Amino acid sequence: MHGPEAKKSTYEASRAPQALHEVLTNPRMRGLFTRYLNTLQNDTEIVRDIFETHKANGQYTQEQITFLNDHFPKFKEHFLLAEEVRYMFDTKEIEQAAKNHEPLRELLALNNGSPQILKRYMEVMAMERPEELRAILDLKRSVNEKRRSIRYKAHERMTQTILKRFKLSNTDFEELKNISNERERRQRFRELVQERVDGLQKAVGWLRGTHTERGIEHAFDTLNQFEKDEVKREIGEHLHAVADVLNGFVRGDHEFMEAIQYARIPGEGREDEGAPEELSDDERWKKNMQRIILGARDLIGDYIKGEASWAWGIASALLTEATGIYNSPNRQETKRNSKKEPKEKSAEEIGREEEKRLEKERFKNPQELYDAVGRQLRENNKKGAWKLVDEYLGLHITRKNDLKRIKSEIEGILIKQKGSSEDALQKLSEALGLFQEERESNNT
Amino acid sequence: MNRTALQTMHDQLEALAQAQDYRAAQALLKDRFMLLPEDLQGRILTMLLADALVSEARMLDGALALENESITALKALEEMRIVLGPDH
Repeated sequence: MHGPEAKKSTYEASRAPQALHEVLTNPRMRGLFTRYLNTLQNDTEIVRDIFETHKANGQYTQEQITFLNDHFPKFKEHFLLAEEVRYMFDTKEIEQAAKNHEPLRELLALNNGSPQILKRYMEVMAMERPEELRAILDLKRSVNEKRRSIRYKAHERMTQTILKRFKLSNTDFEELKNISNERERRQRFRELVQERVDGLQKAVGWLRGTHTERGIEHAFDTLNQFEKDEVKREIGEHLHAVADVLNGFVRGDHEFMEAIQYARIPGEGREDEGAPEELSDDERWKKNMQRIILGARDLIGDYIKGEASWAWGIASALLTEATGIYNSPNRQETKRNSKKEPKEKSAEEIGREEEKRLEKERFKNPQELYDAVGRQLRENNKKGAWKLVDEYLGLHITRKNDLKRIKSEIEGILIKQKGSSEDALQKLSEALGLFQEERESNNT
Repeated sequence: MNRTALQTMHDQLEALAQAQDYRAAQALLKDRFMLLPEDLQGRILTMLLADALVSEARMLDGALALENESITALKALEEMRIVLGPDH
């Protein structure tokens, strides 16, 4: 290479690539990059030189360029982790986590409630302790998933169940649907549920009271398979459980969650705490504080010793214990082992299945669907009619049957206006006939 | 906070933990926390955050279990009602 080409090549070789240049000139990224490079203990000298060079004139030697090029992709991975932390743990999320954790709340309050120090340190962890930070992120994702299940899927599932089991009337349901304000709708829903709770409480009284014997006798005669007292006890326990849950709904999500936080639920409590029913509130508080104080002591001790390892033992144990998703330093081993075990369904999957099941049961027989579609068509609501057809037939289509073809024809009629309402109903009738035939042949 | 002060704090926490006086230990941690180096503050806060997440995960597991049990209970209740007849 000669002339301008050679000159250009020398010039480019002497400068950091554009991406690196941005890293080195952006204060936040530069700070993190410094942290990252400083973790490469064997290369302290070259790291120091790079920053000296940058400070002086930004012209790097070939060796420095090679070093930067070698390490930049890895840094980028760490930087993306830091970005993920910023996204997953914004101030609101940290406040949420601290809400039910007194020691964390108290220490954050010392800084006027600002979590900046915590957030900054987690970014440092992305550079220095990425595995541990990934474990926290895994845990956070798991908590988020559980929250979603509780607040949306499970509540939705419970709502559906309550509507179904306690037979909120169509009028009630219509009334709820027509309340556009979310807060008011929830309030009205709670009132309706409260009526059922009152009914349940009466039922509990009924079971305990004067009518018990007659009712239980009746049940006993019919069931003819349980001991009388067993039936009585079973019904009583069910009613208590139901009343607790319904009361939770009536009080609202937040209070419900708080109420169950210390509830003695089977399986709750860390292994080192023993069975939860053996601990009083005071004992539980002491156990929690012991863990936290000993953890803080270890962290201070390691800091004094200047150890890179920062008493992760305690936090690692906590994570392993709680989630089973992290097992540092043998995380990969854990992952490999977990593959051998059958995958458990997540709460969200269970919720989806339950929704699907409820949807399937929405129309107990094809005639009900047919009538519902007919009503929608009489109101000239073709989209509504199609939605019902789509949802219902969609659940019953298999590769073996012809429902798919007919469904597509109905779609053509209702959505693409390729026929009349009568045509649609005729096709639907055909589809339901096929469905019925298939079901009967399966039964036989 | 210099190394000696840190060592003192470490030893005090150790002694209070031995005596199981966790209220005093908590107060000590709170009183001195802002004097700790920022990195160390960050480490302690991160540990507490992990602890808070673990607690929340436990709580949510309990809530999910309770809800699932309740659905079973609701189903059983409905069956009982059917058995007991329309008046109930």
